[in-house]
Amino acid sequence: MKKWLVLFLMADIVFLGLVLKLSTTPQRHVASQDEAFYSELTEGQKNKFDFVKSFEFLANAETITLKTDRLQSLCQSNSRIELKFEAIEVAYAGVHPSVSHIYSCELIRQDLSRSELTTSVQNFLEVHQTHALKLVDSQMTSFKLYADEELPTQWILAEVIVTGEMNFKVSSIEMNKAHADDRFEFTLPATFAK
Amino acid sequence: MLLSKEAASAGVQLKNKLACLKTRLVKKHSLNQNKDVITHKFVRPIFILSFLLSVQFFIEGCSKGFILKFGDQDIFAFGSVDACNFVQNSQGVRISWKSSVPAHFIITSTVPRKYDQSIINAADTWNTRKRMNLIEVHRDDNYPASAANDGTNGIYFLSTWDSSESREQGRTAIKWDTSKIRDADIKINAQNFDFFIEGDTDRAGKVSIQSLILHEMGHALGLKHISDEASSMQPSLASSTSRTAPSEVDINSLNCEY
Repeated sequence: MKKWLVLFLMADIVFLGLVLKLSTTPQRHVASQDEAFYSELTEGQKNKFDFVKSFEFLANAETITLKTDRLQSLCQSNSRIELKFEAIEVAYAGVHPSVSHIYSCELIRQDLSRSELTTSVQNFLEVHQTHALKLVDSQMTSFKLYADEELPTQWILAEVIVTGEMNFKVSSIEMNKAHADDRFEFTLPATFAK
Repeated sequence: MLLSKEAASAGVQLKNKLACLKTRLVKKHSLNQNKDVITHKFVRPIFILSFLLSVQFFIEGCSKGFILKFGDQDIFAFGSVDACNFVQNSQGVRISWKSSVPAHFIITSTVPRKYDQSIINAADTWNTRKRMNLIEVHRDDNYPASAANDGTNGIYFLSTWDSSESREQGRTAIKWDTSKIRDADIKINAQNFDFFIEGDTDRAGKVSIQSLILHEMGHALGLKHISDEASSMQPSLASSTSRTAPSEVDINSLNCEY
C-alpha cells in the first residue's frame, strides 16, 4: 500500500509539473533564421508574436477571412475584436480610407467551434455608400471612404484591435514581421469597385 | 527426572519468549494499523485532491490552448522610418513625389478665374519657404472637369459634395505606386462654402481660398494633418481667418523627403 502511495505521489508531482510547464510556456513556431530576433523579445512580446503567428489570412472574390485557433481564448477575456482594413496606395486628406469590421466577443463565445472572422466583399460595396452597416453578428463602419470617389481596389488588413481586459493592437508591420512575405493584402474584384 | 525438570524449565522459557514475541508482534501490528489509518484518513485524500486539481488545471489549459499574456506595450515590430508628418505606406515608408518635383497642377475650368492668383500664391509660398520648386500650376480650361486617376493633377471646384461630408472645405486625393505619388487631385467644396481672396474686406462666413489651397497642396506633397497651432496642416481653418504660409514645422517635415 505504502509503495503504491509513493508511486502515486511521484506520478502526481510529475504530472503537475508538466501541466504547469505546458500551460505557461508560449508555443514557438519560429523559423531558425528568426531565432535571434525571437530570443531578444520580452515575454509579453513573445506571446504577442506567437498570437500573430497563428493568423491565417484568406481572401477570395466573396470573402475575406482571418482565422486563428486562439479566437476563443481571445474572447474569454475581451469584449470586441475589430479588423481594420485600409486602402493601399490612396489617401484622402492625408489619411488612408479604411473599413472597420467589429465583432462582438459575446457572440463569438456562443459558438465554441468558431475560429474565423469573415468579412463579405459585398459588404465593402455597401459600406462605401452607407458609411455604416449593421450585420447579424457584427457591424462595419468606414472612414474617409467617400461615396463620391471610386472604391479603392487594393486593400490590406492594417490592424487588429482588441478591446477588453487586454486592450491591444496588432499593426500591419507586426503582421508582416510574423509572417515574413505573406502579406495580408487583397484586391476587390473590379466589378465591385465602381 | 532431572533431565525432565530441565526440559520443563526450557519449555517454560520458550513459552515465555514466544508469548513475549507474540505481544511485540501484536503491538507492532497495532502500530501499523494506526499508521494506515492516518494514511487513509489524511495523506491519501490530499494526494487525490491534488491530483484532481492538476487534472482540472490540465483540462482548463487545454481548453484555453495557450495563455494570452501581453498588452498594448508589447509591440514587437516598428516602422523603420520616421513619419515626419508624411502619409506612409503599409510598410511605414513615407509617400512623396521623391525626385519628381515640381508636381504640375492644372487649374481646371471648374475654378473661377478670380481665384487663380490665390492658387498661384499658395504654390509660390511652398516653393519660396522650402527654397525649392515643389509645385507649379497653370490653367487649362480644356482639361476634363472631373477628377480621374489619370496621372494628371487637377484642381477642381465642385458644386455638389457628399452630404455626409458637408463640413469638409476641401479634399485632396493622392495615389501612389510603392511610395511615389503618381496622381493628386485637389477638390474644393463650392457647394457648402464661399471663399474670399486675401485683401477682400468682406470675409464674414467665408473661407480664405489661399489658405485652403495652401493646406491642400501640403496634402498633395504627402503631408498629413498635425495639431501644431502654427502649422498650415492643422485639420481645421476657421472662416474669416487666414493662414497663408507654411510654418517651420511644415518645412522641417518637407526636409525629410525633398
